[in-house]
Amino acid sequence: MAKKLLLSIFSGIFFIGILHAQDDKGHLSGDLMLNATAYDRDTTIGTNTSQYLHEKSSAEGWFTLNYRQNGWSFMTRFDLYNNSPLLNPNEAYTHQGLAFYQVDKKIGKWEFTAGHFYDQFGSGILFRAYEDRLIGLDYAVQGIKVQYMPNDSFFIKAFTGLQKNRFDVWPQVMKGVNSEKIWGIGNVSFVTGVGFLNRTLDQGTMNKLANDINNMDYSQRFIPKYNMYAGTIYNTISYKNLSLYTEYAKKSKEAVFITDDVTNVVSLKNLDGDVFYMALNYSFYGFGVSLQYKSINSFIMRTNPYATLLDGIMDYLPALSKQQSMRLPALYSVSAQSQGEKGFQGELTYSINKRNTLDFNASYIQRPGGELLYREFYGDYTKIFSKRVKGEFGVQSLIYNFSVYEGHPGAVVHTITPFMEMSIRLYDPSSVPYPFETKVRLKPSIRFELQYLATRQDSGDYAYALVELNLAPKWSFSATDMLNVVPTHGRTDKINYYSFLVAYTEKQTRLTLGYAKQVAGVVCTGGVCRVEPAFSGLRFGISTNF
Amino acid sequence: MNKIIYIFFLSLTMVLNACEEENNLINLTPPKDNLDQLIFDSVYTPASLPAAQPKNVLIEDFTAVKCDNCPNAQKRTDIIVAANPADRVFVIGIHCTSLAIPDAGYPDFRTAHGDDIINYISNNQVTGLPTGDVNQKVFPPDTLPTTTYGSWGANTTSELALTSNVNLDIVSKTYDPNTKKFTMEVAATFQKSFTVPCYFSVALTETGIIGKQLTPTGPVDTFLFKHVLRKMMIPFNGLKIADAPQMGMTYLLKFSTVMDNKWVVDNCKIVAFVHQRQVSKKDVEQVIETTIK
Repeated sequence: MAKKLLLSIFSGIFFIGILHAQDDKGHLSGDLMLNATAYDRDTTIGTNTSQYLHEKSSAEGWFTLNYRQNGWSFMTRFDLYNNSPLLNPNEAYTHQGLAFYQVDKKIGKWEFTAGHFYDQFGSGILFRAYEDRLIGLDYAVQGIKVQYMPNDSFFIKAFTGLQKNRFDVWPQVMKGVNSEKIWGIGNVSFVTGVGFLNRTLDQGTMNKLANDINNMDYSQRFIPKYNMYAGTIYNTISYKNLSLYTEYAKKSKEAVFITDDVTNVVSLKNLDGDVFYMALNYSFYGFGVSLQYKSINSFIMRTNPYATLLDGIMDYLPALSKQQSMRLPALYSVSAQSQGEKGFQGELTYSINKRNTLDFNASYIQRPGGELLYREFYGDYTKIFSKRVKGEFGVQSLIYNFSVYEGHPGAVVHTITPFMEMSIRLYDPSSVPYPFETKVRLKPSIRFELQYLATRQDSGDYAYALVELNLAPKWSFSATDMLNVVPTHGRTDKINYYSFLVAYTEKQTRLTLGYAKQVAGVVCTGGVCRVEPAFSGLRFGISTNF
Repeated sequence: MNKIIYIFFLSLTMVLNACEEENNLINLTPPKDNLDQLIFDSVYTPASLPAAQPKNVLIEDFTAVKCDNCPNAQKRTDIIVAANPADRVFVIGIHCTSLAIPDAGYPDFRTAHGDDIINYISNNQVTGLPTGDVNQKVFPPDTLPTTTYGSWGANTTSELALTSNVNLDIVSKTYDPNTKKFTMEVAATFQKSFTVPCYFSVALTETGIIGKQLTPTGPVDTFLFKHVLRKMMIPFNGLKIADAPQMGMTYLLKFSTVMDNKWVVDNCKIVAFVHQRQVSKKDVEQVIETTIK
């Protein structure tokens, strides 16, 4: 009922805006994304979630509408989940309706926002409200935000609200203030910011906490706080080709659940926390250097201590690993451990000339106590053989603390992964007309990848191959196969994880259809990861904007 | 403007940090006379799920020294225990109500939670003693777990025929005669998943006490009291194991207590049980008993 009322109000405002258009022509835009999946049970790869047993199909969709006029901005989004495993891989979730609405008005130096909004303070270490629908994340805040921006070099903003939780909200109140100023001394420029965040627990959560704490040994009991306060100060110094970003954030004591790495026992503790993060970038004469250092001590920022997995996270902690796009080098990806980690990442890029580039990366992450979590050495060589042929060759070696990152017992994984990629244009960019040309000129190219991951732990060795034929800008066809060449744990069956995909693009609309078998494991986007079960089935997708 | 903003930030931080919160929901210190501890230790998934244990029986005999018919209830529990397999039927004699307030010459077997327990089990509908329950369960057509002792035998038989939903095993137990401290760890392995919380309770009983008891024929000075509740570990109605315990999970529970000098340690036993705690369903899922030494 409340949603219907809200929809009516929005519709009213929307049409009033159109009717009263005077000095500014209104602009309506939107986008649609729809994914549908049919499940094909394959017991050999362990597909046993509810969708394989009962529902047999699922769908997710997002339809966004924006309208702007006279400094007003209206935004709504209809979300659809039908028997969907997206928000929780072990659930068949069904719900649909208005999941996002926003009214925004700019008046001179002021901006006022009501409804849902996305935002972040600095790098997001203290607070970040964002969406990543590919892994089912939507950390929008529902509330009111006010921003004052007297000039281009300064702003201050403040908000209060509740974090979105599917089609509802978490009951814990959040408040935040953030200010940033750009200034300089001679050739050195600075971007300096401060942020403050407060989160207040609701009485229901406090009662639950009190019950749990009263069941603990007297020596371990503590008085939990309703309020968590956190602050951050950050700064970017830029001088010519050098830039240095530093940030320090600290939060007050609150009740948090801590998992013991050895026993996996979860216990309730009263801990404060902090983060120090530093990123240096420098480039000169074909060289590019990037260095990052990060130290986290129990910086667990959630709406409440009982939020699990990726639920209720209020901030974003960057991962200290190279973001991999290829399948096997990305098989053991990591996310930042808010419970505690310390590490660095260094990347060196050297372009020998326009045709030859070298890239090296090293990452090392450990628990504050010294336990190794992740170590990666990576190198690749990119060569442009001709206008038509480009190749990339490399190798990755890593050590991955399986039990910490995957959340269940398993030996530390050591891998060596050589890989290569070749892209070949099957047309001459300078020759017209092209033989296959019809109304739209199709530009065929072919790309293939070969990868081999060698390890004695987890599931053992994998080989991977990809062949992709592109007829830009319309068609794309690809076939991949990931073969468990040397299985472990006494298994002898060499499981094939193959997939086929066809994509068709018509102007701004893209349709995809594919059949895939996917190994269970960690799936990451932008350094945020979740463990997903194996997949087998047919996937259809459509996305467009207007 | 900028100065005003920074002053605002500074003031905000100072004001919020200065705010002291009040929270009286947590008990930070144990009661003065209590050195007991009953805690949830940890949870893990065993390599393989052990076979389900046969279900044991707990008979709670609500009794009192000035209850003339209560000795007959104790006789009935003796018969039931003797008639059934060893180590599968256990009894707690809980002295409660105003009939447990001793007159001159009578022993005082009241405990801190005797009245709390009978009120909890009977949903505050106690009508008289003796009364009692079998596995804190409602056996239709009865509407309460508490019944007269005439039905305890049949109810015990029906419970003994069942398989338990929870395996209870003693992981370790130690008794230090110098400090008189007893410590024990119990593993509760769930054979089925629950959608409601389950709880763990521990009672300490003593048998073989000679004292004055009112009987149908009048007071007897040398009555032999059995299974007398000496202490119920707090919380008296159970420590929560989990909101929804899952099949195949093992929960480790620890407790310790210091034996009173008045108790004969050799005659004391520990009764530990897993149960539900709903208004209409408090069923004991499994119970075990062990000696102190």
